[in-house]
Amino acid sequence: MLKLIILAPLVGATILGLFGKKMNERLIGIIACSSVAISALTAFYTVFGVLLSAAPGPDGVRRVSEHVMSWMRIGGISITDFGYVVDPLSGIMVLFVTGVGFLIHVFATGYMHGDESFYRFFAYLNLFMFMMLNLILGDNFLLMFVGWEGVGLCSYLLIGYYFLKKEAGDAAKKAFIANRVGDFGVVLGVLLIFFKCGSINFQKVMAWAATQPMETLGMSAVMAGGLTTIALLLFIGATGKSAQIPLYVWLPDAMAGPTPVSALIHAATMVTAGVYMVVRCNAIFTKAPSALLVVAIIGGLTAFFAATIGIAQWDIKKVLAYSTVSQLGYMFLACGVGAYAAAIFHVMTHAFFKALLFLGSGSVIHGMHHEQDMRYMGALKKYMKATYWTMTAGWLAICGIPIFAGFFSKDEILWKTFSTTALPAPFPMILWGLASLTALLTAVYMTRLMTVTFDGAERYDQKPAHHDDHGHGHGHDDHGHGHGHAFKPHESPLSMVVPLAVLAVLSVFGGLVGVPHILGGKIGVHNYFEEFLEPVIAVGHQVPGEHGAAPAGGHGTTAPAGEHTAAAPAAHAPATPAAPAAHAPAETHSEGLEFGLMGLSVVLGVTGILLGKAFFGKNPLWQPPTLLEAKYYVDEIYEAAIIKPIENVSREGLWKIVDVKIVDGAVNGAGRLVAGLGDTLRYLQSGFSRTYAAFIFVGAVLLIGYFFINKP
Amino acid sequence: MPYQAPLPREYYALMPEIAVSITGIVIMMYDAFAPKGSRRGAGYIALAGLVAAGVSVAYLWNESIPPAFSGMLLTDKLRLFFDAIFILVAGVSVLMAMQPLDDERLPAGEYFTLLMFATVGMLLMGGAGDLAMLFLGLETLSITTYVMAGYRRGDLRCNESALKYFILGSFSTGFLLYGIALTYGATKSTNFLKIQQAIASGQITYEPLLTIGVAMILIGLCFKVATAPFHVWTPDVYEGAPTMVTGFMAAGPKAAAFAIFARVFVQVFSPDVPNAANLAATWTDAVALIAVLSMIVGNVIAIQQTNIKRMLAYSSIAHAGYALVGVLARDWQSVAFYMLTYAVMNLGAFTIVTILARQGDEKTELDDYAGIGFHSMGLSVVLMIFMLSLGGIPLTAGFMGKLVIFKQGWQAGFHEVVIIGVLNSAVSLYYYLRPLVVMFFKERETPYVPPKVTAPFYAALAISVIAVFYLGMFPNRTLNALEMNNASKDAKAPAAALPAGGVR
Repeated sequence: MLKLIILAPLVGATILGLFGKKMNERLIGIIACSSVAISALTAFYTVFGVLLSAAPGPDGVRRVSEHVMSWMRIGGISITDFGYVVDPLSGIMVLFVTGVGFLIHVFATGYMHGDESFYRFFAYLNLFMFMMLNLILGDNFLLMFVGWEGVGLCSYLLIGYYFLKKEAGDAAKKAFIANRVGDFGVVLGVLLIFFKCGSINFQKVMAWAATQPMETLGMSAVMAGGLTTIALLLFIGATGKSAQIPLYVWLPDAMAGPTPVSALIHAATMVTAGVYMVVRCNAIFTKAPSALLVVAIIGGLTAFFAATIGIAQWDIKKVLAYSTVSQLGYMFLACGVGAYAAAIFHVMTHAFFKALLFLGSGSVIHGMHHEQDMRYMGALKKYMKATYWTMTAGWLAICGIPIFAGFFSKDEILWKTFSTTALPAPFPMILWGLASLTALLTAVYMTRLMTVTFDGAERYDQKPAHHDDHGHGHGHDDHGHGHGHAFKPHESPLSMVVPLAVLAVLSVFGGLVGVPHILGGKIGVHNYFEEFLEPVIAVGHQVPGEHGAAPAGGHGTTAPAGEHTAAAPAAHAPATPAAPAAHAPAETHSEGLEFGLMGLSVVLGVTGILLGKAFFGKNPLWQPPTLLEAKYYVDEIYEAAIIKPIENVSREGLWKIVDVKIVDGAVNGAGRLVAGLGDTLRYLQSGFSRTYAAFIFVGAVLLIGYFFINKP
Repeated sequence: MPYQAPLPREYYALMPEIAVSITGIVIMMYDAFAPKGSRRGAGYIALAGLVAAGVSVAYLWNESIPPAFSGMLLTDKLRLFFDAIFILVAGVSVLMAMQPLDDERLPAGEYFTLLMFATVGMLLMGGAGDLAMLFLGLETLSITTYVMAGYRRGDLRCNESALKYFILGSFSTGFLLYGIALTYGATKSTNFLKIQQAIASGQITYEPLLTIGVAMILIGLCFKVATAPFHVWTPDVYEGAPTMVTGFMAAGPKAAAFAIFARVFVQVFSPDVPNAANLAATWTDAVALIAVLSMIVGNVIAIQQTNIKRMLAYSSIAHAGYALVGVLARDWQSVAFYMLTYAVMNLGAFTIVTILARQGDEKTELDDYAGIGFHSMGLSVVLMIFMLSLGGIPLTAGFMGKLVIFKQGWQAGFHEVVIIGVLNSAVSLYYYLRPLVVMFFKERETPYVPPKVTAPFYAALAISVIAVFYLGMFPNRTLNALEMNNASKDAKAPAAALPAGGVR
């Protein structure tokens, strides 16, 4: 059954790749969408029909697993038992990946309409789904890595989809190379895991990690080659795939790909793979406080810096790209403070509202005939009602307005950051401050995007001439109407609006599965999300001997309950039978404080919106500070500090000296040597049989002589 | 009264050889009597005969058959696994040759007859339980191969190749035969089991006779597998012979020679035999030296080659060096697995070379490959797969073969040899990648017409490509068949011993 989830998109990709060229768009669309639909339906059935009623395993985790094959066993190296597994973590991931993936496929059939290589696009997109599902459902590091690399490849292919545009080709290469840097970390991390633990199976590795002692905070643990080193190596990979400092630079450029790709790969699914990996390895990270600190700091900084850049971008997709980087920063912040469930919760809600916003921007771009610069938009509310209202839902969600999905997940992260005990003293406060400030900025830049795009005056004809060569990878050039005169934006077709509507509903209500205890407890609404995810995460928290209570078989309830009572007064104890352990750190703070902070974050969101409305409503074309518009010159710095030196060393050193002088010299020199030595060496391969026979004879004499001498 | 089988049970052990021999004769008859224009059938008859031989090998796989014909013919996993390799090699060689024979109007019937008899020789070598049988098989193989090497009679290079191969081959066979004679003199038997018993019981007539005998057998076999310093014939013969014959020679006879290498050195002169520790230590040192020398000589000289056949010839010398690591580790399974991986990727590479070489093998210089990458995309990509596999890139058979063999070598304690081997395979990437660079990045100066690729070529390539990926990604079944995964692997005795019993 799990195989069906995985194989359906592969079959789709194969059919489209091999025979798609001769098919018409309708058939291609049907094949592409139905293959993902099969995956999605199977995934929903697996999670709701099978996983929820499955008996928990000995470690308290419900699993649906499927063995695929024994891969190989050579002497002492044993890599067997390749399989797929759905547990609560991969269950949540697979649901929104296939669900959102399906919606985006449908959207793309409308968006890509008329593209020359329609089939190629959908073949890649289906292949991407296949790889992403491998990444999520693989039950070991190697299979995850296959998916990890596979999605990287698909991302490369799709960013460079308009490969005739230099910008797209460059962006694709940039993404690929930045990811290579990260992937190297993953490879080393996995090798180190295999070396230390002897297995690469998630379940076994996590069980092993749980038995390891807690590592210390500091440089010595980082270099020790233990769990901290493993965690940091894996995290390097995560910074590449999930676009964190310092490797985030590829994601904004990746917007050169078609917009559905940005929505699917560079917002909703692939870029969250890093978060998934960290959460999947939470047992390792929990034991490595230094790594957690690094993750939290990187996450917090990325969230903040990306948000500041987001304020200053004109390209509608670039704004959303920086917003994505910033939101991913939130997720890593959550991981860093040990709030893994909150991280995955935010992954999910973010998938809803960011996919919505990207698709909405795609709809705008489509309606504007491939104009992406917000300076030449404005007043689109009038022309694109459906797009406007659905995007409004996404906008309010990302700003953290209560009831909307983003509110619950973001507030959860802020609260967990504030109250964490996983980090040493000043950091929780600092990071919380940074994250709150980011929340304010988020509201500001998203309001700017909405206001400048949908409100104000129509600026469609203000575009200077020759604008086409500033070409942000807009799609099909065959669309190229000469716009500017009597140009009217149009609403998008139904195939694009319906996915928007569905995502809007999810963005509004999707957060209700994770209502925090403090709000829902009174009215009997549980935090279903956390309760569902809890067992996967609890594994890492069972520090032997720390709380005494061993998790003997009881669906992860015994240990968390013990933690509860140990840390907190009875006020919280009777909460629910499966009270989540991740709440434990919170117990040192009062309920009032949590309410207060929640209120504060709402106030920040509303303030940001009001500020943005007031300011950008008046000056939609406000010129942002150059430093921000130029993205802190990070690209230029990388160019000067890394790329140029590498180029120079390659050209001047490796090519002109090593290759030309040394390698070629050696080959030529060998030739000269042969000539120089007269006929001696040449003689050996002279072509004369008598020489060969003599050679063999000498060899034989030497060998026999050797046998003689060696014999006692 | 028990049921009496129509044939003595011994003959069952001979089924593959019988099937292939009959096929050879049938092809001869067919060729003599079929009307002239319709002789393409010879290849199909050959394929059918090989399938029959394959089926009989599969049948024998699960049978336990005692040594047959007074211990002349052993039937064990070593023989059967190598037999499977030989049949596979022969099959792909048939497919590879069908079109070129047609194009060049060379007599197909005789070619396939020779190929069948060469296969019989290889099969006999795989099953040899006696030095005499070993020699018989080896000569059957060699003589047919000499003829095949000179098959394009009008071509001077071909004649040169055949004659050189014949002269040097006879020369080295002399060593082998003399070695056999001396060993017989020392142990009073040519039967492997009896030789072992003689050594174990200390009933050697004169110790140095055995020592020199073993050394000379080693020389003879080293010539056949083309290891330095007995490799000198390889480049000239490989270059001059018709490419399809080169492909066969590099895969089949080499594997056959390794089969007896494994049989004689891993099993017969094993240090597990009482009183043989000294002898074993001596040949082990010598083989280690030869392995290292072959790797270095093969790879270093291959770098400088401009002709792809010559390059592959040197590469085959290097690969023989790698395979010897398995002999050192006294692990015939890893040698067998290595020869299988080497055979499929090498046959694949030579198939492409055959296709691109056109009539009369004219286009085998690297310059002939310049810029064809985008004209013959499919062929170039497939050649790339084989080259990467030969270089040992993961996910391909070449990687898995090296992994297995180096791992066994390392565990057996030959760390220096393994390190040199790994470094060498890194060096080898330089020349394996060269054709790719030339194909895709070099401008072409002469006009290029993509060659015609017909069904037999497609079949040969498909088999090779699938095998390369199958062995590279899912080697487990094959390794299981070799019983490499048994827990008792470290206790060498059961796997390495000769099958006993039935020797009169």
